[in-house]
Order: sequence, then structure tokens, then C-alpha cells
Amino acid sequence: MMPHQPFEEWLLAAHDLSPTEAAKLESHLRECSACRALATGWAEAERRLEAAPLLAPEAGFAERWQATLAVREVAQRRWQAWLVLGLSLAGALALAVLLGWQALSSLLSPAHAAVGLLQVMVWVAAAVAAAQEVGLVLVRSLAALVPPGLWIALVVGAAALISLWLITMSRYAIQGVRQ
Amino acid sequence: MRSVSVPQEWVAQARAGDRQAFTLLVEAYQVPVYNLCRRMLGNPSEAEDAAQETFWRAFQALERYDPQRPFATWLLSIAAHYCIDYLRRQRLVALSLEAMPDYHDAPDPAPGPESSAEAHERERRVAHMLQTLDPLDRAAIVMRYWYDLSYEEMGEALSLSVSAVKSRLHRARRQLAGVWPESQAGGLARGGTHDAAPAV
Repeated sequence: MMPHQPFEEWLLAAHDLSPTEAAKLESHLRECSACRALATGWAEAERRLEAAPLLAPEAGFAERWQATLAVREVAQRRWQAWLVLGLSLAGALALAVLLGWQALSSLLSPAHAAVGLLQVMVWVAAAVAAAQEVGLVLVRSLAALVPPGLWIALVVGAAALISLWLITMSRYAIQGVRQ
Repeated sequence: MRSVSVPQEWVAQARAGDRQAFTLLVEAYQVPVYNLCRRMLGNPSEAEDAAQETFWRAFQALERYDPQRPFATWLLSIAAHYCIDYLRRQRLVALSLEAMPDYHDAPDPAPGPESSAEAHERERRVAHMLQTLDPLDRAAIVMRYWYDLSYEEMGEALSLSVSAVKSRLHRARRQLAGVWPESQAGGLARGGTHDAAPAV
């Protein structure tokens, strides 16, 4: 059987052959009909590939892209909203299950649950009283140190920051979704 | 490549969130991207969807784009991967010649002196040749013959080593060499025009 290598490799190579290689290939092609068929087939196929033009889409592709972009962005935002809602619901469900389990335990032992609730209420009341005491001491100390003008400026600044925060949140929450 | 060059500022502005700049990129690259999708998928409608999907994916991934890399190659890489995945999903590799779409709705961007029927017949034969290839081999051939990408660029775009690109091109060429006589015989058998005149 006639060997087809390296002639097949040379026939399909993208690079130019050396004069020696070209002469050997030519000699081989005169004798080998299989390689001759390969050479003819590839030459024709390559000619057709090189002659084939770039195909263009129908007119208005960029406009269709802009329309597609708008639709997909709305869909993406909707999906994100559903994701947040789903996660929130999952969290709420987990919390409900936990609380339900606690409630069920309390129903099984009401006296124990009542004592526990009382303890929590006492602890919360004590904590609030302590915080009030600390807050009053701080306010009295600061009132003596800070001049009235600075107090007014601080209050106005805090109000401005709160307003800014509210405006920003409303823009993100309402106007952002509309866009 | 039958290439497109765009101002680098467009890419930078698009990366900074400028939609108008990205639309300019879409306008500039619509033909190369669509052509790749069309050569890969063979169908104008699917190619349009694939090209739109390519730009959407590019738009979403702009932050991850490396400006050191040619933007066109990056886009073609996205398009090629999308088409390869699509073909693998749809199993269109073994599409029969009879199932090939008609090209009467395809625009002819370079009208020549020959009749549109001859041009369509040529397109049909090229499409048939490409459809016989494995999707990855087809992408390599398309990138080589329509975009003149280097082996390195093709390897980067197709996630292949340079030696794998060469190997795939060799295999694809061998297969195309065998397909051509069949395509010619098929065209004649169906009464198609025998396109023996050399294309310009």
C-alpha cells in the first residue's frame, strides 16, 4: 500500500511548502489517486470557503438589540425581585417553624413557658431602665459642654441626613424599577 | 479578518456603563458576530437569536472583559461558545441536506455580476460543507477562513491549545476535502447549477 504521509499533511498544511517538498508532493500526486482526489477536493473546498462573503443580519439589528436589552433587563429585575421575595419568604417560613416549635413546646408545658416569659420581661425592663439612666447622664454631661448653637446645628444635620437617606431609598426603590 | 476596528474609547465607555457606547459596538460588530453564528448554525433566524444572545452575554460580562485582549476576538469567543453549546443541545450536526434552510431570505451583502440564484447555490453548498463538521471543528474553520485569526487567538477564543487548534483544522480540512465531491454530486443530482466557474 502506498504511504500517504507526509503528503496528506503537506496537502492540508496552512503553510507554504519548500521547493523540495513541493517537488516530492507533485511526484507523489502523479502516482497516488487517493491523494490526488484529496488535493482536488480540498482545493475546491478551500476556494469556496475563501470566496464566501460575510453574511449580514437583516437591517435594524441594533434597534432589535436595544429592544431585546430593555425586555431582558425588566425580566432580570423581575427575577431578582422574585429571588429576594423567595429568600425573604424562606426566612420567614424558617422563623415561623422555629416559633411554632417553641409555641408547641410551651403548650405542652404552660407553667414553664409562663415563668420563662416573665423572666424575659423582667430582663428587658431592667435593661431599658439601665439604658435610660446611662442616656440621661450622658445628655446632662454633654449639655453642659456643648454650646446651644452647636446643638441646633447637630439636630439640623441629622435631619438633613435622614431626609437624604429617605430620598435616596425612594429613588432606588421606585424610580429605579420604573427605568 | 474581514475585520472591524472601533475606537478604544467605545469599549472603555461601554465598560463604564455607557449604553450608547455599547450600542455603537453592537452596530460595529453585528456583521462579524452574525456571520459566525450563521456559519455555525446555518439558519438565519437561529443566527439572529444567537447574535442577540452573544451581545447580551457580552453586555453582562463587560466587567470581566480584559482590555488587553482584542474586543472582536472576545466577542467571537462568546458567539462561538454559545453556538457550540446550542448545536450540542440541538444535535444539528447530522442535519441532512434536505433539511437545509432556503437562502431566499438571506441578504446578499456583496452582490456580484452573477445571478442571485447562483450566489444562493454557492451559499447552500458552503453551508452544507460546514454542517458536516463537528461544532468545534466548524468554529475553527470559520475563525480561520472568515476572520483570519491566528492559532493563538483561535486557541484563546475556543479554549484550546495551539496544537489542538492545528489538529482540529487538519481534521476539518480532510473532512471538507471529502465532502466537496459529494456536495457537487448532490447539487447536480437535484438539478442544481454546476458552479464550476471560479469565484472571484
